[in-house]
Amino acid sequence: MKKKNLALLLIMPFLVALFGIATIKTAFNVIDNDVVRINWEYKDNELFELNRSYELTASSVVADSRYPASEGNRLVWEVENADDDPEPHATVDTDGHDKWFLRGISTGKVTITCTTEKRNVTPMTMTGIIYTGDAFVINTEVSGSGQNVDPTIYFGEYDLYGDTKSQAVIKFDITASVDTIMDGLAVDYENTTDNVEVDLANKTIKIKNAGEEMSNVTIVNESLGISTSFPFKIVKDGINVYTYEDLMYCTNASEEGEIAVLRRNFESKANAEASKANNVTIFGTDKDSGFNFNEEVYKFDTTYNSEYIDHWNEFVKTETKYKPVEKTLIAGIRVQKDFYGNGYTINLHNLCFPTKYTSIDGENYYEPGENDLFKGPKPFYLLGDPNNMPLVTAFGQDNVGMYVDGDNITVNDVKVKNCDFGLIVQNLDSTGTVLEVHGDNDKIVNSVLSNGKNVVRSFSSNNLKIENCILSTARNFLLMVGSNKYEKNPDEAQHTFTKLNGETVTCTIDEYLESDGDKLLGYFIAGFADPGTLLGIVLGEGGTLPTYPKETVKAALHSLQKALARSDKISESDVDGSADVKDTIFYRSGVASIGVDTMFNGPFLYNNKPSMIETILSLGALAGMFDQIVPTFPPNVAGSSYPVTVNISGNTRFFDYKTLNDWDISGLIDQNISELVKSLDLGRDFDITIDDIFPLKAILTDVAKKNNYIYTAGGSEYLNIPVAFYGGGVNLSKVTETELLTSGLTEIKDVDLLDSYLELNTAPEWGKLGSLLGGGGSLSDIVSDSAFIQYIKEVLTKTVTTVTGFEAFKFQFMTIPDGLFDTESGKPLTPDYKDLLKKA
Amino acid sequence: MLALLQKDFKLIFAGGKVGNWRAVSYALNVLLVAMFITVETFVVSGVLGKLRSYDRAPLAFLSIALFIVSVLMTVICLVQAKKLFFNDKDMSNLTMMPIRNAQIILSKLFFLFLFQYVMGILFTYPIIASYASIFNRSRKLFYLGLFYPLLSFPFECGIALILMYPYKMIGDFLKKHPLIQFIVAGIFVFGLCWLYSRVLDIFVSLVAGGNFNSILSADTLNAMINARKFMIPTTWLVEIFFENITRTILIQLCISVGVLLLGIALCVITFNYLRNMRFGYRAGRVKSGKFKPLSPVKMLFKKEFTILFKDSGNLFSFTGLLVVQPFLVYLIISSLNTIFSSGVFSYYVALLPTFLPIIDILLAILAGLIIAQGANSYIANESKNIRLIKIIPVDVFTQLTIKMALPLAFVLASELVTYIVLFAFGCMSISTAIFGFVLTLLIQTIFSLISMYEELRIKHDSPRSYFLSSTFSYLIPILYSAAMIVASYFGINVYVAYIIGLAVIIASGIPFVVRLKSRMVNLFGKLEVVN
Repeated sequence: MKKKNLALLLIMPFLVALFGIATIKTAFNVIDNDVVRINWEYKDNELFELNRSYELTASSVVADSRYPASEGNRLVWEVENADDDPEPHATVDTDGHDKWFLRGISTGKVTITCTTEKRNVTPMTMTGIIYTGDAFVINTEVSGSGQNVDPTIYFGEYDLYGDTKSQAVIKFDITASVDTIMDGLAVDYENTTDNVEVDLANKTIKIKNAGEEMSNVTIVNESLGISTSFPFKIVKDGINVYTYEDLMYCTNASEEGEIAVLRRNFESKANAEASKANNVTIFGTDKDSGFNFNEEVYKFDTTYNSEYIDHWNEFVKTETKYKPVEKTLIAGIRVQKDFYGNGYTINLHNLCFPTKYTSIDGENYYEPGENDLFKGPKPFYLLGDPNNMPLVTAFGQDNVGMYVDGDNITVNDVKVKNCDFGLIVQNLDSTGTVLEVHGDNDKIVNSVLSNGKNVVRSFSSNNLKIENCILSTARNFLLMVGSNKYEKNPDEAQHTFTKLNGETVTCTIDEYLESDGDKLLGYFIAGFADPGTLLGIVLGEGGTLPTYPKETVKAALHSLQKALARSDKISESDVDGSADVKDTIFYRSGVASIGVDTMFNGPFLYNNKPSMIETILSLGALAGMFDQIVPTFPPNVAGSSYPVTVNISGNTRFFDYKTLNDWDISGLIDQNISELVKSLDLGRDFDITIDDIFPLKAILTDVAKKNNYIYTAGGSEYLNIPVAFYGGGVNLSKVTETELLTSGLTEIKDVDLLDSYLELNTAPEWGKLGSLLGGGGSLSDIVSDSAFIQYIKEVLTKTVTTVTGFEAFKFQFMTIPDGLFDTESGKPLTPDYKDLLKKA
Repeated sequence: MLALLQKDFKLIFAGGKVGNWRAVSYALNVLLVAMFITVETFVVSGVLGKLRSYDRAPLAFLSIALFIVSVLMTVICLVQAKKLFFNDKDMSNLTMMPIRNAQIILSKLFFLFLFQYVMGILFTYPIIASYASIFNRSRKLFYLGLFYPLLSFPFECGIALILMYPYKMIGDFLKKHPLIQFIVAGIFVFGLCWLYSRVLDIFVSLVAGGNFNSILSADTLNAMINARKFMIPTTWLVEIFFENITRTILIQLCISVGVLLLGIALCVITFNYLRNMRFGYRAGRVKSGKFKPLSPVKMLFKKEFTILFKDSGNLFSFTGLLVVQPFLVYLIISSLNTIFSSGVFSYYVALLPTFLPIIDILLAILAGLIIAQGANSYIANESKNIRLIKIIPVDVFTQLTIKMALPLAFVLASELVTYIVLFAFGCMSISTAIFGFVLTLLIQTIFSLISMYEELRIKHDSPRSYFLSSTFSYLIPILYSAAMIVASYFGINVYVAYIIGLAVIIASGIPFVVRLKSRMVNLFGKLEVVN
């Protein structure tokens, strides 16, 4: 017994671990809680003595501090020569757990990097000098970011003192291996450019002018024969941004804009307070009363179609119980001139992230509070009261973190994120677009943009270049392109339409929709074209509802959509916006990496047809079941969008595999139907989701499965959608590829909602409905009828199409998971953020 | 023949237990084997999975794994063969019976074969099956795997039989030289600990996903591939079974059978020699020495000390373990801490903050208890000397206190060092170590008292019951730990958990203390004297 007990004890660690393996997934909801930031206290340049071992220390911050970091998030260190010497100057070793050691093995310059095993976090880098004997290094007083993608360190020509610009002064420190080195230091004027003035006593470098190319300061200790250089580039007319006031001066407060050169991270209050580094400050003015961004942000009117808002605001002038909708959008930073990030971060969390939260099952779900400025995108169209739980909302333009406003602007080497949102993507709903481009010939290079509803939005901007960037973590799209320009339908134009009986008729759209078109749409959404016949059946007077061939109905609907498309005016060559995406990584979208937008352009937006919708919604109010939930039906608010082009090239990759479960379009269209039904107190709840009224997910999944675009691994089904052509109006936009190294992009596939909708034919027993009504049956009896419920859902589904339009959505998939999927673990691979450094 | 096999079965498997305890013991055996196979399969599959992309490395690892099993099987065979062939009592009984020598030896060899085959299947088949399934080998390999122990048996058994007599001689020698025995036992136990630590290291790196790749450097892989050719006879068997190379079958069979025949020859010679020796046995002279008069209390201490440190059985189950306990417990706890601080396992630590400290303390307590069990046969150890302890002029309380105090003091000292080591090497915080030691001290003390109570109740027809001591020492700490881990989920403070632990141990131990105190003299008086 004693020996067996001992054996049991010895086997205990194995058993406990195996028990852990067996139970971990049932015991906990294991989530991919990745490291989002690495912190350290090293300076840009550090000294390491030859043959001495140094423990390397850094800490990491995970997305949700309540959970441990998931597998692959341990910190790893790497070292490589920063000079051309083929022999390594240093090695890094680990004790196998979390301790890392650097050991210099020959003198020289090395680059030391800290990242995670998964490598999906911006790595921290520094330059290490492996020395023997005497050595010293120069560092700026305010530390560098440690996250430069562009290896050049930039300084602006000017510093700001209040609102006054003056020649910049760079404060620096010298670290020496022994103190005595400091006594013999002098400026090496031969190797110091003459556009700077070095004051060794005060340790300052004064910028006299921008100079031609690179500037350099060399300090020497002649008696010891050692020297150190400090190369940098001075940006002509650039202003060094050390404070939030400096940032505002260069951006929002400036009418023409200033060239900004970041010299600090601008973080959220929480991150800044947690940081010990001297290169971190808060984004915003943190007063006792909290932040007051209202006076600091840049406000501009939406550039997207705002006809619905205009109509609504006209409507509320007479219906004073409703409130108007502002057309104004907000930008955290308005960039009008070049922007040099130096690898620093701008985190607009305190401006963009909502403050009001509800806790459900221990998870916090956020929504905009009363004083929050970011309240979600403007409506493009909606049914209901925009200020009070509208039934369905299609979104227009959103608020923006960084608004690049103007032509020929370059944004270089900056990290911008709208928030730290944890792990619940729904919390990104009102956080806005991370970076929006409004101008031609703009460039976004060497940057990491993340965490917003959409990450980059470019509408009607020509020749946008996105190069060597990472766009990551969007609720909807990582890059959303489209045009603000559209063509409305002239009333007088003649078109040929197909009728339900298959005959054709030539007339104006208005004429068609007033008669045959209205019947067509009524039949399409509700299964009957003649309400009178239906009423007879319901009242028990007999009669039958006619049915029509699906092909005829489809042809008729397409003839209507074709008439709305303005093909007379818009062709593929009428491009209103173009973007060239090169060597860029797309990582983790909610819907697709690139969204190519076209405006919703269904007949209901043209003149509120089918009239049945308006009638039903109004009848409900007349019957006293509910208040007028749709106070106004604005006509003719949409049109056909102009096309745009996107070209992808180089080593652009799409790390965007997601499970079918995670593919979520609820950020595209907002709906509150379930809440409305709840408020009616019908005796039961309808559980209606966006997938019920807009079943794009189910139909897309079918298409993907039929074409083998679904990748199954580890018991889950994954899909990767690099490009989505989104919107039910005509979409003439193009996505092209030039010298693209990525393989596996499929041809573009149509996902035709209409085909699926025409298969829906559930109909309640109208006679039974009549007897229920006539026999004193209650409303709850009716809504308890499963066929009736299904019918209502199908009506709602098809109604949405009369708003969006009948054109097929188009998707491009990724088939080959090589390099994007870890087949062994059955999980998608994550990008190596260090790759950006290689291409800068 | 059947009767002989039945006798040998009893010789190997019969313990001193009766009734339910025997059933528990068998169940525990089965459980242990099942656990071993689970762990073995996990480790082998894990390593093979990591090695699949390296050329020749999987077969090299397979050879090493099977070679380790082969060594283990040889050691088991050696121990079992010694038990079968050189058991004094068995030899005396057989000498008196009209059974031919050849029959005796054949029956023992056959029993050895059966035993080795069953054990061989248990240890080798998971390895073979893991390989076959990871590398998608045909079903034939799953079937052929059943024959692997048949082919490995001759060599392993031959070596064991060759070594059997030297092994017995060394054992006899060590019994006569306690100091050398102590040193050898120490080296042996430390050696086992080292081996254990290596296996644990590989396991942890597999589970925690940490530095396994650093273990598999190019040098290691090359060394492994080069070492394969020395793994005789495993390397031949691997060629036959996994590479379908049949040219070595004959060589392998010849060498293996040759070794087996040599072993059998030596076995027959030594068996006959020892059997004949029994006829000419004469008691040797008893060593005379100087007698130093000591006080009765000192004498009793000396006697207990002698039992603890000179008895060869205690050397491996108590004294040796006392010495290695800090190292062993450190290995176990640090590996568990590593596992539960990495990857998804860190969920346990993040969401159950007291999980690791409680588990660490539990393991330290259990280790101490298992070691203390090695020296808690306070009365049973006396055997025929019970008569003496009943008549010597030392009061009962003093005698029993001395019996308990000495092993308890050694265990607690070892535990103290263990907690210091755990704290010093960062496995435990200072507060965990202090509370852990206090909990251990309480449990060990109460465990000793209960054990003494159980020992005093031993009767001629009623062997010692371990129910109370086992319940108290294992069940209560395990239940307490489980309850505290659950409570941790609801946010219980770790210090509150410790205090609850102290209260639970004290409250559950008090009845035993009171009971022993009130009945000690009475039970001692009723102890039966064995003639």
